[in-house]
Amino acid sequence: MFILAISPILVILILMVGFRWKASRAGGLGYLAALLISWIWFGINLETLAYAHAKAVFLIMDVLLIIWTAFLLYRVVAEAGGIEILSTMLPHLTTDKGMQALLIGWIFASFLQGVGGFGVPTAVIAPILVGLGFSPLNAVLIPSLGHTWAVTFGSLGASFNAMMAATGLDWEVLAPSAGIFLGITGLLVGIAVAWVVGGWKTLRRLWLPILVIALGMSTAQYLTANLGLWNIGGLMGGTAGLMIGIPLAWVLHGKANSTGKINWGDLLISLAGYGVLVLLTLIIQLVPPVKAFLSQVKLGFTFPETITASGYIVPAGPGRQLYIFCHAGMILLVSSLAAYLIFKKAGWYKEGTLGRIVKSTGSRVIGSSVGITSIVMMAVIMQHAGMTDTLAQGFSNTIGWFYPVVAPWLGALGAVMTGSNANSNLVFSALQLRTAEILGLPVAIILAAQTTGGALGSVAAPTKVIVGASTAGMEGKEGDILRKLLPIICILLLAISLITALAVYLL
Amino acid sequence: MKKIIVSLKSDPALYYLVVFLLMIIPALLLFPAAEGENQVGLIIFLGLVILANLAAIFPYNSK
Repeated sequence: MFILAISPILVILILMVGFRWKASRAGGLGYLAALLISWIWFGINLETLAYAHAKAVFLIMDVLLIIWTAFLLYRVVAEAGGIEILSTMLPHLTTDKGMQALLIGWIFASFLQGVGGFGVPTAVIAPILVGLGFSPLNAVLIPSLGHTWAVTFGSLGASFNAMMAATGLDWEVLAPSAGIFLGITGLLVGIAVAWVVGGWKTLRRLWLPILVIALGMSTAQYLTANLGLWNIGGLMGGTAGLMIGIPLAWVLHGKANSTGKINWGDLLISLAGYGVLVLLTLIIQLVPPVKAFLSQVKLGFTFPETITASGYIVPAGPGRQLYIFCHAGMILLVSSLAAYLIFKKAGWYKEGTLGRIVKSTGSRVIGSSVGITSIVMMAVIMQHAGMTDTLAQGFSNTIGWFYPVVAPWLGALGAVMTGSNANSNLVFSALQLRTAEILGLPVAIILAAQTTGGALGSVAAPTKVIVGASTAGMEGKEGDILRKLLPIICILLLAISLITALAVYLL
Repeated sequence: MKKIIVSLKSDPALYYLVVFLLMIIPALLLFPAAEGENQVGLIIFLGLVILANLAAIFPYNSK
């Protein structure tokens, strides 16, 4: 039964990694496999399938609303030239190669992950680093590694929200451990970036700025997420990094390059959309009457108990509730509209911009939306059929006390195969939760290991490597990138395994 | 009808939008069908979701 239960996941893994299918195709086949196996071998009936599908719709909308609107806001800012302004400004702050890599490939990449994600950090930064004289291979490696720690709370919290949706647990349970694990990862990837640039020599020279910046970024992300503002955790981490890194680059290392001018007024306007986002999030989350007023409208059903022919029971209860007016997606939509009006008033848009924004957003997100829909439906069917429980029982029986070491690798595997931390969380979080419950392990720590592993694994996903290679002029040399990237990711995963085991057994 | 098929064939985003809607809307309608114990409705809506997933597996020009 274990082999049957794991088959839909293996189908997706084999098709995406072995045959390079997109998530939208592989997800469809994974869904059909789950449907067939749950019906023939796990005794799922039509009613249970119906409720599972309806539950899945709310999970899907919860996740997709953030993904769609996060990319919309990114396009609104990018079309106005906002990202270009930052990209042009940062290289002029220092001539020190190590500091440039940290400032652009680690801090700015984390900021871009906070506001955009979807492969944007590597796509934007690799060409900048090539222009600054870095080798194309390093130009891809540096931002790929640099933004990993900001993936979970980045993309306006899409991956973290996916984990909450898949497990049904609140941010109060998940954010503390995830914040600590990702904060430690932030320091580790800072070290990795310096090592890639110039080995131990650069690392010895820049250890203090790395430590200060990592502490600042990680603390900002941790505090933001643990105040309930998880959707701007990555954004605030990246912003703190810029606020610390820019003066550090000026004061500590190298003379400013005089070939460019910084227009601080333009810079402020370019960041206006994100300013509105931070402001709205703060108001809604930290002013209780506002939150109470906006929480009045919610969408969701209460589902009855379901039971399969094999006797597996899912208790009755409410599914995922969508609080439309204080949903992170709605805040992002309003921020996008505000940013659009600000840029339009400032005369930053050319004719036909609105059409381009809508079209580029739609064409970019709709394919992955189909993939996410199929994968979530698959995961929910597996839960209702008892397949996830069978997997969790199997893992707990075979791996047992060693499970904390394996947990981040499962997250990484999910991200490599599905192309994203969010998808990995959707597929594996429920399984990790159930296995932790069976083994009596602390759920929050195992799920922190899951999402940290997913964040690390996501940068080694074939789709992201292809994007990075194409923007740095390394088309066809994706294998070279993976050969250098994978050992570093594996070392980082080993470190997370060790931290997970220590946290589980010693704390 | 012919015009719609031509549009779908020429625009991958439109194709995926139709597939996405075909997944989401019938999946949501499964809830009232299950509550009303409407077996025909359940089979039709579930069939549509399966059809949409099949359409995602076999897109015309995507790998």
